Amino acid sequence: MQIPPVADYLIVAAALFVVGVVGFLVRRNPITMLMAIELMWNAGNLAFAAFARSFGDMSGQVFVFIVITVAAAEAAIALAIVVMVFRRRRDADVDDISVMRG
Amino acid sequence: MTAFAGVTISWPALAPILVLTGAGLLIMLVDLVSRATLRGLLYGIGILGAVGAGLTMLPLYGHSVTTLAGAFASDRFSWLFDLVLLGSLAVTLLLSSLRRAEDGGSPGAYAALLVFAAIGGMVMAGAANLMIIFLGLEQLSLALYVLAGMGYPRAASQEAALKYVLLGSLASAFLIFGSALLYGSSGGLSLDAVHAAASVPSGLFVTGLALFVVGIGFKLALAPFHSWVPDVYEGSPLAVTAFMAVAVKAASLAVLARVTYVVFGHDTSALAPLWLLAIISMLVGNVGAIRQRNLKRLLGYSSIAQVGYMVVGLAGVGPQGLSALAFYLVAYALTTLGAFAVMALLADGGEEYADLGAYPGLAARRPWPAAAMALFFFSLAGIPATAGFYGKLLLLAEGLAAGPWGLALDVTLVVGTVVSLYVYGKIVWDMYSFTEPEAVVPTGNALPSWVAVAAGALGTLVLGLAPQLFAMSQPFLSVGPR
Repeated sequence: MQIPPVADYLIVAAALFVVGVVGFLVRRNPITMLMAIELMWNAGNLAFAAFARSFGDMSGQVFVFIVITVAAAEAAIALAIVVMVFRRRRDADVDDISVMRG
Repeated sequence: MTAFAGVTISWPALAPILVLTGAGLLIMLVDLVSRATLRGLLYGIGILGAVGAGLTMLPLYGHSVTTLAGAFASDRFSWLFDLVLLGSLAVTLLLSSLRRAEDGGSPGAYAALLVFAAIGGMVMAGAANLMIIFLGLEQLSLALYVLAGMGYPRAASQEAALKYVLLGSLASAFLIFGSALLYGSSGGLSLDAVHAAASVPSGLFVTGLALFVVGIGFKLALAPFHSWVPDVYEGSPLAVTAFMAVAVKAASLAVLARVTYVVFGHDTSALAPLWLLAIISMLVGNVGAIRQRNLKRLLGYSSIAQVGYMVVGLAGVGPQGLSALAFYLVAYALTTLGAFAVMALLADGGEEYADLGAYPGLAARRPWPAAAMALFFFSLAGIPATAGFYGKLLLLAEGLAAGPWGLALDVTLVVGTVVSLYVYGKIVWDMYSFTEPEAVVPTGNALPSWVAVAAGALGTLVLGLAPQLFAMSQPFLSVGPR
């Protein structure tokens, strides 16, 4: 099977990244915002894997595994924080979460 | 595949990190088996770990090495940042020992997370590879997301944690995607490979570098990526804010300095966007500080401006600029930690003295803490005879040597300093006026915070009155990361 050129992967990765940025900016629910961020992290992963494949170099692949591992830790911490905020407030819209001003 | 064969490990170069890791694990172990009465012991282990890690750095002097297949550098540049990180860890642990049970969080988790955050910063300070930069940054950030929420009985602390984790992860996403594009343009993860790609910059390289700098800029809180700083600084527990203000800045600056220095070498002409960020930071930070009523928030804005000042050091070509940056960083660390220590001292670790309404007439009630606070504010503003003054002189000299952009940076630095004189002068004026505070205020007097205040004040004065002491160590600094 013919492997598509690296540029094609890069276009998909860039599209994922932009979808993530837009999702982060327009959504106000922290869990949806975290999902948008996850998309952006994975856009980076896709680009890394594609480049690593085209270079025949392992280090890019290793980076992908490290990002996946860190993303799991990050998701655990972020969700725990969302749960903590939700327990006190019974909702979690980021626009309402603002006791601090100035 | 061959990259894995024949990797040599220089254990002495990794010793500071390993010692500190051991201290962190020991804290978790002791926390597991001990009762709540041993709280002080947990912070003590952390402080001993920081001191021990500092001692293991002594035999390193004069032996710069790059280890782990070129991924981690242990050189004069990283040692200085390591020392700043270890110092801020020790001071933060001292201040944290005043935490009370009602402040929330388990002391063991709290102390261990602080130690692990400092390790992340040390990894960043020595990182010579995009993957290690990411790993160090995430270790620092993940620990701090939790620490920001460690004051969870207060709603502001919960809010700070949520804002920090959302915007911090966003910043990491930019860093990852930027790293991927840099990897794609250079074919390798090491900064030397990226340096090779910089000689003929492709669109891929420029985009990657821009995204990378945005990611680091978020962590460093360079304007316009600073929006999270005021809320996170105000909401986080006092000692954690002190650590954020010094350790996160130091580690991120180390990465930024190493990347610009290794990738661009002596030709910094391509970095104009970075100078623009520095100029905006100096203005936004100082002007934003004017109308603040909360001292933690005010110091947050101030830190935005201070980072802008330090980036001026990068504009100066080569080692001289790095050493100016390093001097200013040490001055900034001493004064900022000192200011937070005074806040903790006055309120016994509580948050009451974050409110600027508590400061009028302070000098009459508490002459020594008020004098120390005034000294730290003078140093942050850059009044002669303090460390901040000499640091600003060094940075101005670097700017003058760096052409038209350097001149623009210098002018903004001076304008920012004038604005900050008003900001800090107003508080000092309040402290030395014969008025009463707006609210009932506590009177703390704990020994750990006195130690931290004294260390900060002494360092600020010594560096201010005898900067040649630091200049004597110029050879120590003047060798850059290469």
